[in-house]
Amino acid sequence: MSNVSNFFESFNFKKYCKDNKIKLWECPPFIFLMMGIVIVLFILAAYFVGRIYVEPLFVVLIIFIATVILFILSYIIVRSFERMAFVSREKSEFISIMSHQLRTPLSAIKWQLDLLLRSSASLTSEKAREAILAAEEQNNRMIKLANDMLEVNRLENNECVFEKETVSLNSLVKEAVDKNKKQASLLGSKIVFSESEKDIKVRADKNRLETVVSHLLDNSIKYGDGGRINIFLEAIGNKARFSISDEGVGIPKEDFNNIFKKFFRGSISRKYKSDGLGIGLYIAKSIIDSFGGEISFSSIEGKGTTFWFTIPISKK
Amino acid sequence: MMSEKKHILFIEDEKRLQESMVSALNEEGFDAVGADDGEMGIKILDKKKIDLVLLDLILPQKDGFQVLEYMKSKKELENIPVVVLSNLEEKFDIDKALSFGVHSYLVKANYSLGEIIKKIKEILNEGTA
Repeated sequence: MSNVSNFFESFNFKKYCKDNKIKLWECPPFIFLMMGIVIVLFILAAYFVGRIYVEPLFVVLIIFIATVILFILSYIIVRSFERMAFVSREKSEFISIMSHQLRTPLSAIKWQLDLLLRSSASLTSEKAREAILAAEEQNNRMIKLANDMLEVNRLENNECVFEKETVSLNSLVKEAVDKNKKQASLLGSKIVFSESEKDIKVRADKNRLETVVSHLLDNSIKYGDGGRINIFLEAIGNKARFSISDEGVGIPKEDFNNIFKKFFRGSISRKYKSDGLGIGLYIAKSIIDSFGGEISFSSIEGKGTTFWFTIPISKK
Repeated sequence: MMSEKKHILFIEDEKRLQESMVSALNEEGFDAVGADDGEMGIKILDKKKIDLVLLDLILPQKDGFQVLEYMKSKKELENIPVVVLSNLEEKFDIDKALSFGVHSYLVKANYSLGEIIKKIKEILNEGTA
């Protein structure tokens, strides 16, 4: 009984497409069915046309048209399978990258705890505190990674719920700068924030706006090569403009078109930092787009990069 | 106690991992030193006498495979035992590392510091036996 229902279930193309997140005309079972229908229709057409017109030219013409249609449908099927193979490859690559990225902080926590256990008697309280702080830092790193992945999933499936509230952009950026000052100074960078004279207020989801600013700041610190990081906040017409410039390694021209793509890690970023999933800028762009804003960058390899975004200013 | 301190180089860009391993090794009586990337690792290998290398594979500047390649190309380095400590577990990476003649391939997340140190002692004892 279940076999029969499974058979009929396989004809539910709408469900198949929804489950596999593909469009109807990209769905191989549906196209196979269409091919079958086309073949049957053309056999019937050849039969009836052959009865009326005796010249073989008409039958040849019908077979030619059928062949062209079947060729197009076969091409769509092949492309569809290629796309599925690509998605499957992307998925296994993702699992491999993700497990590596998760294992790194997990190993660090494991080894820090090992160290604490092995040397508990000889360890000074300062050293012990350092080890606990290091484990906490790695734990936070893992939480951030998991949150970022969930955010990517929500953004892709349009499942994000954006809270709208009036946010002071000046305070938000100031807080982000304060949070990242320590990390920047550890890498020899100094963050200089030049804010607008008047407080700029925007209607946006505060947490997500913080995410954007912190991803951009994080990148500038990571790839800033210990140089000065300049942040500008200004109001231009009815838009707020945030920009962040570093004096770091820059982005090679060949990576320009891919920089906001999901899981893309530029050749330079791979060269300088082995960690990172390549989703920070993808998340930042998706969020800014949903605010009705614009995000972009300019960069010279070896000289530095400037990322900027604009979002509408609140009228209230 | 060992009669002479053995010199161990750990090439690892994750500062926290590097610090805990180096500290545990030094406590065990080894002379351990860390390198943040492949290039720095090669410089240390060229300058200092090293008895065993612990090597991560994904590294900035020069990756682990490039370090292995370099070690293979130098007569004075090719016989130094190498233990790969990586979180990569793909067959391709393991096979590639083993093809360079590394002594062991250990997945970091699966081994405690104690287990790795035990392994290091075994390898160094093999060498002196």
